[in-house]
Amino acid sequence: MKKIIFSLILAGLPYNIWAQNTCNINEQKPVQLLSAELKRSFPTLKKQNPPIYYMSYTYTDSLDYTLVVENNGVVRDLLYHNTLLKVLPRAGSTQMDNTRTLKQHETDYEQPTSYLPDFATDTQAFTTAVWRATQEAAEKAQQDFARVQADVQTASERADDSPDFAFPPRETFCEDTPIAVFDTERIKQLLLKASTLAQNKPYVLKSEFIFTFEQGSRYFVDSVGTRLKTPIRLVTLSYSLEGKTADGTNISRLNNYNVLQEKELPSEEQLLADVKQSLQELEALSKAPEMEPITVPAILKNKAMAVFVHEVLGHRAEGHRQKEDSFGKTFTDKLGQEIVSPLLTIVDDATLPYFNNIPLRGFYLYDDEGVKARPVTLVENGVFKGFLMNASPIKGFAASNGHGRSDKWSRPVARMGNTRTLASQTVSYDELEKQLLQEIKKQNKPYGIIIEDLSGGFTLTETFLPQTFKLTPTLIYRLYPDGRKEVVRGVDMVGTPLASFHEVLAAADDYGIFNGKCGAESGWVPVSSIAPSVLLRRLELEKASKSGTKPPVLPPPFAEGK
Amino acid sequence: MKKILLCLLLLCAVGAQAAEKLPDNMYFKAMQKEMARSLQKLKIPGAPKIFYVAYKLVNFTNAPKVLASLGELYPQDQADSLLIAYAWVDMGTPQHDSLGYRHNEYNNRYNYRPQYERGVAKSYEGLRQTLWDLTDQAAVFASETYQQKESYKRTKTSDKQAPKVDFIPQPQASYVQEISPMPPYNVQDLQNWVKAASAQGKAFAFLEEFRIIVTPLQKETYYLNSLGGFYQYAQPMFTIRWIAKLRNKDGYKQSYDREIWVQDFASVEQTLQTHTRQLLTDLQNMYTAVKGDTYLGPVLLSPQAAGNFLQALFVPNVQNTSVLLTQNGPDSEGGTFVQKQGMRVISNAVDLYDKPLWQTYQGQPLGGFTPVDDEGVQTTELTLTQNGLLTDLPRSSRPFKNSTRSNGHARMPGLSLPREQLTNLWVEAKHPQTAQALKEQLLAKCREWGLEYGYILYDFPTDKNGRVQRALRVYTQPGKPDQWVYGLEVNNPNVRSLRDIVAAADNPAVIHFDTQSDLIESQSIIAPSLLLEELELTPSRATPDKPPFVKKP
Repeated sequence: MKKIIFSLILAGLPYNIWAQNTCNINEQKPVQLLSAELKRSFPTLKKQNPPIYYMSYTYTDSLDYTLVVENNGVVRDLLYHNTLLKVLPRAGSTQMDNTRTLKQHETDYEQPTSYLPDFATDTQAFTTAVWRATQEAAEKAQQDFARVQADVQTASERADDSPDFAFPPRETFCEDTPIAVFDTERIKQLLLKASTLAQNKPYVLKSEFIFTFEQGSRYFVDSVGTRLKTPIRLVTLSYSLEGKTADGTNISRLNNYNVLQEKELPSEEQLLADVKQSLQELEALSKAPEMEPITVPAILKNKAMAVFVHEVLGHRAEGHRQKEDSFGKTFTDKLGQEIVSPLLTIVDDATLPYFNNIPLRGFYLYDDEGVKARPVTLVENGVFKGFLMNASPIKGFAASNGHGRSDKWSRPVARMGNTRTLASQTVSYDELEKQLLQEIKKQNKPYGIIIEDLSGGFTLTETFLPQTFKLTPTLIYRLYPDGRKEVVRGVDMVGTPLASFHEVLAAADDYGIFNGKCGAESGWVPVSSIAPSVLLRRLELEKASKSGTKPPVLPPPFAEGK
Repeated sequence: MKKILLCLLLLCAVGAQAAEKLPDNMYFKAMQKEMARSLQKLKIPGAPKIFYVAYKLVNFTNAPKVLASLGELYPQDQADSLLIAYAWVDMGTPQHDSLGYRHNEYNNRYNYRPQYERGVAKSYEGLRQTLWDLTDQAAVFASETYQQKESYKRTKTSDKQAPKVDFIPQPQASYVQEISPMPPYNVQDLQNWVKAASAQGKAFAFLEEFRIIVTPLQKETYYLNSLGGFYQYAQPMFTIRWIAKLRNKDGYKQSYDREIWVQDFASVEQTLQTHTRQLLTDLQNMYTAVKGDTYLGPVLLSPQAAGNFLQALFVPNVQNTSVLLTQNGPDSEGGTFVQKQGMRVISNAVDLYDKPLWQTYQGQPLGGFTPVDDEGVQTTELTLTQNGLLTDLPRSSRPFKNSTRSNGHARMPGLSLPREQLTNLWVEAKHPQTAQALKEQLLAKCREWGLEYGYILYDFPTDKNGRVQRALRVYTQPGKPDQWVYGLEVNNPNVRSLRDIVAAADNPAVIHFDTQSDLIESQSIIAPSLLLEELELTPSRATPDKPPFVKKP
């Protein structure tokens, strides 16, 4: 058994595309125009009843590209220039404002946004659009505040009466990262070629090959005086293959590659080999036996463990939820207590740009409330240490730690960035499988389970529902005591958070990354989760839902007779 | 009888009666191949046989749109293209088929829908894959619907007046237009024109928003059914849209959204200039307008308002003529004029025609151009009303009353199976007068009524709660200036008003509707100003908004 000392700077930076190309924030035209409009309007807005006591502008200027290919043809090939302004005013006071979660009604997290014209030759159109958006947002904030006031009058007492807002510190930052050039024609040809591999396979009902990027800058200006220009660069090549078994179970294989530059994309050989591998896996799934519900020892492979940590622990450690009385508060009073196996340490570190040469989607320098990103230790050697915080304080945590995040259309709440799970003791993956075999024999089980991959899942955190999780494995193997492996299908992972994390017996040294998108009340945000494969003493599996319809009567057009 | 009919159907399918040759492109190759495979091999155990399959492919190609506000362009996007595929499958026999019944569990119009996919790969293989998938879904849907429809029929005694057959196959037609890429145009010129036109808004301090969007686009449509009908054509055009927002002098928030289509690039500049000037004048009038009051009396409708008026009161009543069934009885979407053929439904001051073969009107593309309908039937021109009497209705292959012959008006209204729809409604004045003469006639009528003033409406609400955005009060007293009015609503608009048309002008203009969705077939109305004997207008109960917190920069 190998013992490692974990460190927050484990991941080396092979070539730092994020190397700072500093600029002067005061010379940035959007910052100048937004600051001027804020300076002009904010003194008046502060005098309204209720007052607008804080306001921020987030202006995104990005090139968004989507290429979708199916069956040797292009479905969509679209590049658009996005110039979107989000206005976020706070009406009322820091103690109680328009953003408070309503107890008796649905809370609206959507913020007014507006597409803005250029400002190259004349700024009148730009500033008029900003003025209009500000007016709309301020009116909405006042209306939302009135809803909060009405709700408070009749709602039950709050368990945590922390203020709704803590002013973030003033920050200044400016970085110019050049837009990376991608040869989209070459990528298109590559995807077209890859798409033909799925064509004549009777078990493939739908296949999709996608290349997307979002590149540009985000400008942030607020009434505290923060002025930021930060880069946006999200580039993904992905594919999905879908099928259905005769009993209606949907099966799929997905793969994605996150890069920052074209040279980091998979080579043609690599991509085609991966697609062929995924096709083999899909075919195996199409013939695989359906599993029955069972509790058995299991290995969660690294990417599956990464999703598991994100869904089951991460969302419960998001700070703002701790003062919502409808929230399960699994960890609210667990500070200083052991909540997971002492093998594990979990840190959310959005400042980490790469891990094992792979760009992390959860990387950012400043959050969506203008607060500087920093590593936050959630769990240290199994002991719960703290929450992910945005600018909404909770008992014992008065300030943001740079985790206020949202999409372009919503207001931020506390969210994850790059969630890293570190094991204090690791073995090789082969050794982990050997330990699984031992555990199967020890528990006298007919077999154990290896969860190779998860497509995602959900976790219920509301008090009126069972506070469980349900994750959907897309590739599962049964491991028999004689070492034989068999692909199976048709089950989901279920459990409760406190019990599940104590089942971790051992971890491997094979850290893997889940790079994806996470959806919550503040929209879809890019996230990463890094974890090693782990051995669980027991894992509960229950029947997965089925579609209720048969597969198509005829085979796909080019798979007849195959 | 059933055997004979089926044989006839097969003959139709084999020897397509359509005159044109099937176009030699990947769209038709894919449709033909997948259709043949489905008819031959697609059998759902326990379900009746498929006897009819139809596919429609619509490809929208948008060149980069040019958008400007107050003299500044928005960043330019890349060209975009979107291919949508639809599939219909009919099972059973023409006497008892699977279409035209709404499941109870989905109590909405979409239950009649074809299967469709938005975003299809533009390759032969991609088309085949999509059509295969859609045909299977449509067959499953048809199988379920057939069983439920038959079950419904078994619970009813036969209605002697009801058609005995669900679907009557018609002679099939074809129309093939060579499809070329979208005509080239000068992007720089277009940007300059849009920029310059939008800059005119700067002079109007009350405008909170003023945007102009020009979208060059081409809609290509490909259709094939298993009876042998097919068509292919393209509609290139430039859509010009103005969006404005303002708070009038009394503080009411008002918005203005107008769209015009032109066919040639050469017409774009002139259209932009003319209409922007007119629109800004309209906006100025909206800003200075006074609040309206209750009014009962004669009203003059501008061509735009007349189009809206007919769109609201005439068009829905002559469409959807065949009776579709639901578990709760016949559906309620059918036009109310179906039972009124030969009766007086409109004033004899105008005759109404449906002109499916008109592609343009005075250089403006028309949304209803339909050479062959979505059942493969040759579209024919209709005389809808003559001397005020209802003479004809749009018809499809689904019979109603004694009508068994389609006139080629089966079109797709929303995500529905093809139903009886108008295409381009042409309003012909029997004794056209100049707009000025019509205004004089309005004032004369007001005097007869003992009214101090009358109204000219420049738009007409197409929904029950809609407001008239622009109304002009014209005084009977000579020399008293006209006055713009806001906040009027039409009290209880109903079909009775169609019979109140007393005169029409010689100034027809085009309006389009159902234009904003790429999933709906659009329609156009070409109507002149209309003088109505009587209309009741009431002031809106809305209260004014406060002024903005901060003054416009």
